[in-house]
Amino acid sequence: MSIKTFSLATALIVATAQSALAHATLEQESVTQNATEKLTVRIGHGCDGAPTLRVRVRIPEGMIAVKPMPKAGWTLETAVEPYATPYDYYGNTLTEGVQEIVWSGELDDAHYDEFVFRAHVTEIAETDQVLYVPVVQECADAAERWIETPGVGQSSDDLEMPAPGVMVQPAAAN
Amino acid sequence: MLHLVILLLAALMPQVLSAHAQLRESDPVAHALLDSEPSEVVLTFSEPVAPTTFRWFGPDGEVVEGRAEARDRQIVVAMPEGLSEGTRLLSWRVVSADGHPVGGSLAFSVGGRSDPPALAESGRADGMAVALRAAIFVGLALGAGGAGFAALVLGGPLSGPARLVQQAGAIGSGLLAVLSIGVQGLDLFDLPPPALLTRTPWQAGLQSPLAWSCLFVLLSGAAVLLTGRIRHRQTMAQLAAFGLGAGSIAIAGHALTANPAWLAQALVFLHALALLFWIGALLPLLGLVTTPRARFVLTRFSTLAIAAVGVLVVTGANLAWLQSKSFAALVASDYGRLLGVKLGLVAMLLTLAAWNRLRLTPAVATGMERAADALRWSIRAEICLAVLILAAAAGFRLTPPPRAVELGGSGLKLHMHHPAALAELHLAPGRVGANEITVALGTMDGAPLAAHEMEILLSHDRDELEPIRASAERLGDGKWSAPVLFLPLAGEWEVSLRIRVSDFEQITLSGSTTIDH
Repeated sequence: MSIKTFSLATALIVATAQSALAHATLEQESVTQNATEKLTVRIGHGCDGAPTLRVRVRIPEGMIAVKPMPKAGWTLETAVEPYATPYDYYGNTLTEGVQEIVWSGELDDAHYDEFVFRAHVTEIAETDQVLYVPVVQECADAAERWIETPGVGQSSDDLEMPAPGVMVQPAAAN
Repeated sequence: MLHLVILLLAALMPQVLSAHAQLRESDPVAHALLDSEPSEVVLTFSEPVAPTTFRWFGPDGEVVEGRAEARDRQIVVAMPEGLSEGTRLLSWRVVSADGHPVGGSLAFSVGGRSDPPALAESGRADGMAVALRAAIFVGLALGAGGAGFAALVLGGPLSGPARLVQQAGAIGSGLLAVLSIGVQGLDLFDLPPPALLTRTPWQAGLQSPLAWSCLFVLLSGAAVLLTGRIRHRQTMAQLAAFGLGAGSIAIAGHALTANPAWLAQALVFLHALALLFWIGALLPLLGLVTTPRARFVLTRFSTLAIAAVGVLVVTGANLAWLQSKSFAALVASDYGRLLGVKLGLVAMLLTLAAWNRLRLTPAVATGMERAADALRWSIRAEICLAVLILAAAAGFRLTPPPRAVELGGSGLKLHMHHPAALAELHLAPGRVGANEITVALGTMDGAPLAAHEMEILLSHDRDELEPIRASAERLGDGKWSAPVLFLPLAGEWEVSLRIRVSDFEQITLSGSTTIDH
């Protein structure tokens, strides 16, 4: 085997082991309908070497009653917008809620951090499908936008900037 | 060696990794115009990468494998020797430490901008196509031309060796015409000859006008073979073979796209009739000179040949005019030069023919001793010239007529659909070389759709060429334009638009288009 083949093989082995850290991802692999879940966005690098100054998370349709976790050294902002349909949440009717979370601070490219929020997964989220949570990292002059969702016949592996996602499991039978 | 070390280090320190190395900058910058050739090209990426494939496409069609080495986050590509001045293209492909391949192309110019490099055809399909066409012409001359001669001069079928040659010509031209369909497909897709065993070139060739030409050749050949089998209506079969043979030449080729096409095709048809008659007569004449019928045949042929020459000159002149519209353009182009060569050969042929008519034919008629021999030698010389002329005529395939080179016209339009958006992409001039792209983006109702960013990706079937990417500039009102892009290769290109509609929404529209030479 030539050096080139060997190093390529090494790269591939390394790739399969490490691919998770390469993109912005969610720590959780699945969520359950009608449950309140903790979701952790993992940011592994900045924008081509530049530190990340803002992490923005867009709440997908189907997640309600969102509460972000504050971070020491970071400013936390949320955008409250009306929901597409009103939801019944433990006896309350919710017509609006947090649809976007923005953490502002500084995360060096050489460092790793996690951004946590809690959300209630409603039945609007379809079971056995991936629910995508688009995440945007903004740096001083550039941005990494993890917002692509696969189309028909594609998978996230085909995309350059795939949005983090979680599989939605049906509600546990009582 | 170094990139191996880097990759091993990367394996030991996983947190250093990130995905999808991106080209941060290049030295020289893309589309730069330099005074002198740089010693090397440096590509700087966002992370350490390992080089995979590098290929240079030079201004004169040179294709050179590139040598590259990795230095930390940079790839240094050695500049190959011997590339001429002008625009050259480096097609690069690297693999980032996490195994994702990344590729692209870098075009820049040294000493001056030139026509962007076109990929040298590894299969030489162009040359094969021309050789095939020349051979088909010869076969048509023997088969269909012989039939025309037989019908118009002899009043009956050919006999003896001349008939065998005629049938061989008919069969041969038919077989070669079928083969030329596959070769046309090879040329369209720039495939090497072994690809003839696959379906692709045949499917492509069948969709080109050449398929009709092949059909006519086959029908003409069938009519020639039929002549020997039937007792009555032999003349009709011969004339049918004659007409179909000329039709096969008129139905494909540059004449199709001249303006007006019907006139050009009619002229080519008449030109082909005269040509096939004259050249098809030569071989049978050779055999008939020593027979008692010689006097009658030669006289009748001479009369018709004058008419044929007249038709050739008139139609030829009109065709040359249609194709170029100006004498200056004719002289300056490759088409004009090839035409000059062909005309020179025709002039020589005419001189010989004139000598035949004015001197030798009467001499044979009066039964002079060596006149027959002289005439036979003259006819042999004419045959040689005729073959060269047919080769030259086949060569026109390689030279686009001046009017095609003038301006590509309105370019290519491409509609792309998506559940959320519609895009109309305009590629000018839509041929190999420098192209400008404009995009009009709208909603399904047609109203302009505002977007934040648009990236255009162009990729070709051939794996060797990396996708060409460009960031489009927003012009406002849903209109975008991209800087000049060099498309180095003809054929089918896949176009993708990556459009960032909002901060959190990105859509991709795709379509494909065919780029001509």
